[in-house]
Amino acid sequence: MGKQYYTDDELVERLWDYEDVKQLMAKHFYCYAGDERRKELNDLWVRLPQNRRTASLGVNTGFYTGMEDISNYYVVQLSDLRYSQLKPFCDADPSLDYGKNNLGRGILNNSAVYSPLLHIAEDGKTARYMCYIQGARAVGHADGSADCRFMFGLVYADLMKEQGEWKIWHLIITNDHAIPAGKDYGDYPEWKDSFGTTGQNGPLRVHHDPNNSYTEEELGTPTVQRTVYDPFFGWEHLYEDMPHPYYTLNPLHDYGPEGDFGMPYYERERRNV
Amino acid sequence: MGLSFKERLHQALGVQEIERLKIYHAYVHSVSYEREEFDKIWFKGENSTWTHWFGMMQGFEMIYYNHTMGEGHMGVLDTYEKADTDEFPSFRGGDVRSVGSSGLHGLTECYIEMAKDGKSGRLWAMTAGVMMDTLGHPKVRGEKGPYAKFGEASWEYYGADFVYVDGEWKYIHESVVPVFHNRYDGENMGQRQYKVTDDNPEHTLWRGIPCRVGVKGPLAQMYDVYQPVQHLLQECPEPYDHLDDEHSYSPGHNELK
Repeated sequence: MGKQYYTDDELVERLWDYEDVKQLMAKHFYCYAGDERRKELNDLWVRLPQNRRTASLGVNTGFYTGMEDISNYYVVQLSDLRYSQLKPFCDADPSLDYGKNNLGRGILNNSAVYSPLLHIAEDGKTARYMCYIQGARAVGHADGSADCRFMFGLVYADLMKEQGEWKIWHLIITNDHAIPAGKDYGDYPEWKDSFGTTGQNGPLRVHHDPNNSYTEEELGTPTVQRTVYDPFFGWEHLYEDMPHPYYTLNPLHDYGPEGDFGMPYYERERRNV
Repeated sequence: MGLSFKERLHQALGVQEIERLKIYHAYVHSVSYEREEFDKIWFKGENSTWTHWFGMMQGFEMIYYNHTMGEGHMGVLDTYEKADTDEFPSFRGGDVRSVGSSGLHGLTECYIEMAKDGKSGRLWAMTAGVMMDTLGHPKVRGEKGPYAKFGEASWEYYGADFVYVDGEWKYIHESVVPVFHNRYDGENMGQRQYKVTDDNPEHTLWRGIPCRVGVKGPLAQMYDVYQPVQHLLQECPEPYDHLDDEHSYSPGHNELK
């Protein structure tokens, strides 16, 4: 064995930290799948006021910052969407209650997680996480039809140890492909979906739109608007953005709005200078 | 004899590090960052091996050449061809290795067995991964028209050996058994595989390029409608004392040299 940098006790703690962070993120995906987002924000995210102010949620088009904005988008807007999706069911069946107990009818949101890559900071205070989603999504309609797609994207997170417990601090949910079930992706240019998502169709080759798979409506209006992830260019910045071994979290390179996630190389260089 | 606390701790940390190396490999491979993989996480010796069904690359130099000059070079040429057209002017200046790619051989939970001597670990895993290209390619992937989007599923099994050298875990053997490679949810993958094999039973190319291999394949069996299910798998690691020809994905290449 090589020269030992940590004490045995520290090594044991780091061993558990690794498992705890994986566990925490697994819980996030459980909540995400079941629309239990309020519970997620309450239980899994940072709690200390100073950290709640700087918490962020990134999507392809920007960052929601602070727990209030995150909650408005992540919980309230989703709830509104679910009510609008429930309405046609209630119109078709007047006996069906237009209330919260029936929300999520016809919805499946399965973000199956693959390949979690994570590093605990050498100072033990934070962790950086990335995983790949190969999931599926279904939106049912009152006429018995459903829009089903395979959903893909990378998810990134900065996690923080708050009073001995790991919590989500910065989360980025990117999305790059929404392959319609039963269709060849090569046929996609000719295809338009029921959401009105144009996605990566022909004209976008020139005037591409970062709202690839989720509609602009679904992504909402982030607090900080910038291209966080442009599906058209794929994982060009993956290597720069993925977690690497580190001593302590540098705000210039974290997964929050002040970090350089998704930025072109020249922007990153400039920040380093 | 049982292991001491320190030895067990070393093994537990080794499991996590081996898992991390395998996952790191999957991500950097997905964007053709071959140097970042082979420079960083591989054991650079003559007993390093990298095996696919078409053959075995023996020794770090051969592996490095095939991946950085062969596979990596091919990816770069692909991208230059795209960038050389008026279709993608905004591509110019992008990273030619990774731009447009967005798919991963996503790994399911890895099975990892550590040697009792603490000097090696063995991993078995499977993927129902994907290979995506937002750009397509007029020559290589142009069946659906130039620049049609490209999304493929890639189903594989993996066996890998790792060694502990100078205080660090390193990859020494990788063995890939591909079983399906098909358009995502757009075709019957079993029938497609049958046709590919039927059309060219001697097929030994990798990404369309000839490789330098020490042992020529086929070394693994891709899916076939007649094959027994066990023929697709490498052996899952059993508890073992140390890396040797009985416990290795590359018999004959287990000395650290």
